[in-house]
Amino acid sequence: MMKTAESSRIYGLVAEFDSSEALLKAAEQVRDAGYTATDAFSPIPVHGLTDALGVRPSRLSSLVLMGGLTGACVGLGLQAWVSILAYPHIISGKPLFSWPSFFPVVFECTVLFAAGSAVFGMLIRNRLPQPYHPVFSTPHFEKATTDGFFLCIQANDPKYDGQETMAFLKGLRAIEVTEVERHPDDEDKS
Amino acid sequence: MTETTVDCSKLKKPALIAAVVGLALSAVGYVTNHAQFAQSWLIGWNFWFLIASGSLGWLMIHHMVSGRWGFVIQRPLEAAARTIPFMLVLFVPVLLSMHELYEWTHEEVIAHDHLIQAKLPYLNAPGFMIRFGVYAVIWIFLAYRLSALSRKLDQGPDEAVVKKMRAIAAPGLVLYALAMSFASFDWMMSLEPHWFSSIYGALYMVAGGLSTLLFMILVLRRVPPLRAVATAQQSHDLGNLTFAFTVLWAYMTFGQFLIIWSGNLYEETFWYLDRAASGWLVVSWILFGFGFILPFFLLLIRNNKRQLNLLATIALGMIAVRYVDVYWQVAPTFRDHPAALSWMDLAAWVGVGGTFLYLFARQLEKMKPLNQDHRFADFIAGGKEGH
Repeated sequence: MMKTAESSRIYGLVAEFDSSEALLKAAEQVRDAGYTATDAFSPIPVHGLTDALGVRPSRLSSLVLMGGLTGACVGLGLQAWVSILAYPHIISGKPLFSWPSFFPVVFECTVLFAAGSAVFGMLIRNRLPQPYHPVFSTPHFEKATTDGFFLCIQANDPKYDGQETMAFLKGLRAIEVTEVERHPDDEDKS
Repeated sequence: MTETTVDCSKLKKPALIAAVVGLALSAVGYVTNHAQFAQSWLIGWNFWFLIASGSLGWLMIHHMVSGRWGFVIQRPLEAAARTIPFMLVLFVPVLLSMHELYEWTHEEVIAHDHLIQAKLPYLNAPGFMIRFGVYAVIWIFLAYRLSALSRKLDQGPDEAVVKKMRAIAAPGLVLYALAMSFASFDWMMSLEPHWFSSIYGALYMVAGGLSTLLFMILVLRRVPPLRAVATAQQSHDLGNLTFAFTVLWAYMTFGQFLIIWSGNLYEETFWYLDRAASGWLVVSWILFGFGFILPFFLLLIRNNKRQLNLLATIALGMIAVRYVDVYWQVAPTFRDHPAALSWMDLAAWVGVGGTFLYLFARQLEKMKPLNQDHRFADFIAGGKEGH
């Protein structure tokens, strides 16, 4: 019982590294050790890090495609409805369903909906905006915006074991490994 | 950098055979049916010339922006650009066939046509030839100057040479674009002397840029020393550029149509009415479907761009559509039905193509296959560390 309470209180372990190379190597070893619930924090884009972490390809692209196709249908439908049903006027002797003139709006709607799906899909899937995140309580975490490189293994990883994972991360040439709690307030209360 | 040379023997021999057979058959065509020959030659020649001239355009863009996509194809671009003088020699049959191709050279037509009369200060045979000479000087100077400078870099990195290439490329691009635009007006648009479209020159260049990209993807796939250094990222970059140019080409092609369709003035619409007539309408839709819709979705898929063999397969299909596009631009002026193909169409395409590929291979095997530019060396070295 104690152990469950303990592990639910812990968010995970955060290891700090001094360079992007060290972070990349560590990420590869963490992935090869079988950890899946992982995340990395870096001030600069580290090429190959997503592969090293074993991040699966994002499903956002299919959402964007769907959004784009929806936009195309909306744009076409809107114009067809307006010019055939709502206001059937003959303009410069052209048929009511003058598809060539619909193209620009269809295109713009496709782009608008696709871009909207990309932005809002990304925000929702990343659970943003997020004013607080447990890793923020890692010591020196503000260095993730200047010269610090961090790797996190979450406690909900099936392979996670407090002591063992801690030892494993320390063996990866981490400068410091910290256990991070879900809510920093808990510490004060206990 | 490794110092392997490109082995083009596999390409040279079949290309030479194709050139000889194609040119010989075309010569027979020239004698037996000059009118038919002229159309076939203009179509076949344009298909290949767009690749040679497009290579010069890409080369200058590469010198301006020095993107990583350009370093691997820089030498093939230079080799293709260096074929331009020979390609222009192959334009001579068009100069000899002006009467067969261009209505505005016919005295009896001019006499009854006010519009052509008004255009005569520009549309006249001496002007056509002089302008051809001017275009030739511009293209040949740019192609040979830039590739000669680039060869200097084989001796070692030299920032001054890189700067010089950039200094030539910037005004060079302006001259290039002007020459290409006017060339397209002279050679292509004046096939219908009454018709005009202000986007035509840009469209011609974009079509050429697309042809060149497709050709370069195939070269990258086929030429071993280049294939060895081409990473998934470079394949991806070229795929993205191809995607962008496919969309740009479709955008301009449709834009030209939309404006003329909206304006609905007979002096412009007849060009599209010709292409909406019975058989030609099918070709127009093929162009829309296989020139835009299908490549658009194929090139949206990331994996298709990152794997060079997949990208090359798509490029092979798309380059066939480039021929359809040139055919669609030229042939409706002369042929009521697209199926009115002639054996000379094939002979001209094979003859000019064989010549181009043979010359391209000759140029490429004389070069070090990889750019010796230090920026490229840095880039390759960086690539190994995973940046």
